[in-house]
Amino acid sequence: MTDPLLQIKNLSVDFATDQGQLHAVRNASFNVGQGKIIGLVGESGCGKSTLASAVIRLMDDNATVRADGIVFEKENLMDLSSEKMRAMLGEKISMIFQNPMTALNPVLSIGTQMTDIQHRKKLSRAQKREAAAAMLGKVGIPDPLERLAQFPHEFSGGMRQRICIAMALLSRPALIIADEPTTALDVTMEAQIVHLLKELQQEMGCAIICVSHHLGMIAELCHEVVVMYAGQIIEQGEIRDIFKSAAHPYTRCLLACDPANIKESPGHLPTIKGEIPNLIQLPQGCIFYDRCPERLDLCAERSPVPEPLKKGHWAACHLISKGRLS
Amino acid sequence: MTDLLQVNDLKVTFKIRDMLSALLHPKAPSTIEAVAGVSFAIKKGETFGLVGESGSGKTTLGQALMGLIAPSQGSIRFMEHELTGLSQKAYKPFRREMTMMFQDPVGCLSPRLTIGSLLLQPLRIHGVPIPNKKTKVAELLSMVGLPGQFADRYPHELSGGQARRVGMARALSLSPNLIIADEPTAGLDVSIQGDILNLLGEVQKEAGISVLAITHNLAVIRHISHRMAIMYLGRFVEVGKTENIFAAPAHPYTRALLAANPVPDPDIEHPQIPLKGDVPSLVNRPTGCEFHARCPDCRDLCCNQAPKSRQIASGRTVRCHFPLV
Repeated sequence: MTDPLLQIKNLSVDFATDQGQLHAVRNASFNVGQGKIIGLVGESGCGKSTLASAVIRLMDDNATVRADGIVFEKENLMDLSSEKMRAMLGEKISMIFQNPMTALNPVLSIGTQMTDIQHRKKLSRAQKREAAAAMLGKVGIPDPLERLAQFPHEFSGGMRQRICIAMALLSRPALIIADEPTTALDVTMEAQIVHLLKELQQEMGCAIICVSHHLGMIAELCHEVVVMYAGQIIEQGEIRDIFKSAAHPYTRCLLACDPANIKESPGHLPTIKGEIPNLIQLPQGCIFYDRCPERLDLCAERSPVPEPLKKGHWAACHLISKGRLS
Repeated sequence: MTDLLQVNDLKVTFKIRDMLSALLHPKAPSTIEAVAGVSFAIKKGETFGLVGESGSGKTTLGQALMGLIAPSQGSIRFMEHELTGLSQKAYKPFRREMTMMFQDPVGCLSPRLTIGSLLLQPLRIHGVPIPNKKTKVAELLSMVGLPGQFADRYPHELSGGQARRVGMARALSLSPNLIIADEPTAGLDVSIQGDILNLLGEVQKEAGISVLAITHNLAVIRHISHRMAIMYLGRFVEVGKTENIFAAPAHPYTRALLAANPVPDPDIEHPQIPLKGDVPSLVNRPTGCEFHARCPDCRDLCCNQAPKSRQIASGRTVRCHFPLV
């Protein structure tokens, strides 16, 4: 087996706040295989975006990132100088942001922005424009050469997200981090973008980390899923492991809550009671204890460790070791 | 059951050019029809769902009903009164019976006021006597399941879900007959979304309130609405009972919308009914059927002649030459 493309080992992120250290991500570890699409799911405030941003050092000043290693293509990103890191980001890793309305510069034409992003390539400006036009054509924008002269406001939301995807792909990266790539779009646009991402990924063979809270989209796009709750990874597995035989109560609750999963109208929708715990003063025991419908006495005292279920599927829950998994 | 709200051929137009450019380009259209002739009725205690993509005119329609935007044509009959053409002053008593939950839950709360005073604001505006402010605030907060100490907090201290609840308490404080809920769960997690919708359903049942739910989330509409309309470029392309529409959509656009809604199950192969391109511009409406350029079943007739809305079953209308049902 080949080495994974990206290995995240024990990554923790703390934010210094007025109230104290906020432990936004704690001991997160997972691997991204070559050409795999990994979905990162959880409620808002679970640290999904923080985790993804920490990989590319896109953090605020008050953040402290600690890790045993963020190994990308055998190089530890934690040890890189900021210059080398920037070179890495321009060439090997790119990002698709949540809001295509604000990700593009409104005062520069699409063509300028798309040639600027290739500044490391030793090509003439005309060649860069050509490459940009070719990529625009690939993401399904008609008349790409003429459209290079247009400005972001002349495109619709879906078109702008396509442009953002084209820009992310221009450097032929090995890894793309997509932070809620379809949240700002309509369902028909979302379907188009998911389809496009899937197609391009197969063609170019890059790996994608896709952050989303939209389970339907994850199910359609991803190969593997990492479920986060309150800054911890609580379950990880292949797409079918998570959607068909989820082990952690949180994952099961989250799936049950999605109205798209409920076939008949029961008149009452399931919810997860309570709120995400305070991440400044972490509770003892399992982080999901106070909201868990299946908690045991043990859960309040000891936090669970990851329990393997089958190859590539594990969950951090006491129910597994106690054999109480329903 | 009588109709609480009756809307007939309602149109809302916006000016898109100033006078100078209208003089310079006399042939170019100077207005767009954001809502282009919409008719529907909402019965007492009923939830009517309004679905469509961004820019289809859903929110504009809701705002026109509230009298926030003046319609250019058509009638709005609410509780047997005609609302179009009323002055703002004459509209005010009706806004007590028809309240709104706005799309942006934090943005619609003044950042300078505490939750307590925000909750009492609607009552104050409509001159409703409040014998005991504290108990009234506590009552409203408990109605939407928030603890009493929230009265002294400010909007920025609330989470999205909590702000929604405050918005709902404000909409309910006047005991209205109709609530217009504009994207009631946009931006909420699925775990909280259910909470808000359950709450809305409960108070609706208890007080017999009608709800106009505006959303682009089909999964939500399916669970909360009795009847629904699908809006495209300011027109209703399909209207009917929610369960019937979900069981068998009659308009190709509805079918595409339903197919585009991903189900969280990796084993389900999504029927790929591709909707090509974007929503067309309102400035240059397509000729013939306005959906024809994106429609997978487009035929010659569709390019030339605009279909009329027609009834295909009791209470079910569709605007298509070749309905699927």
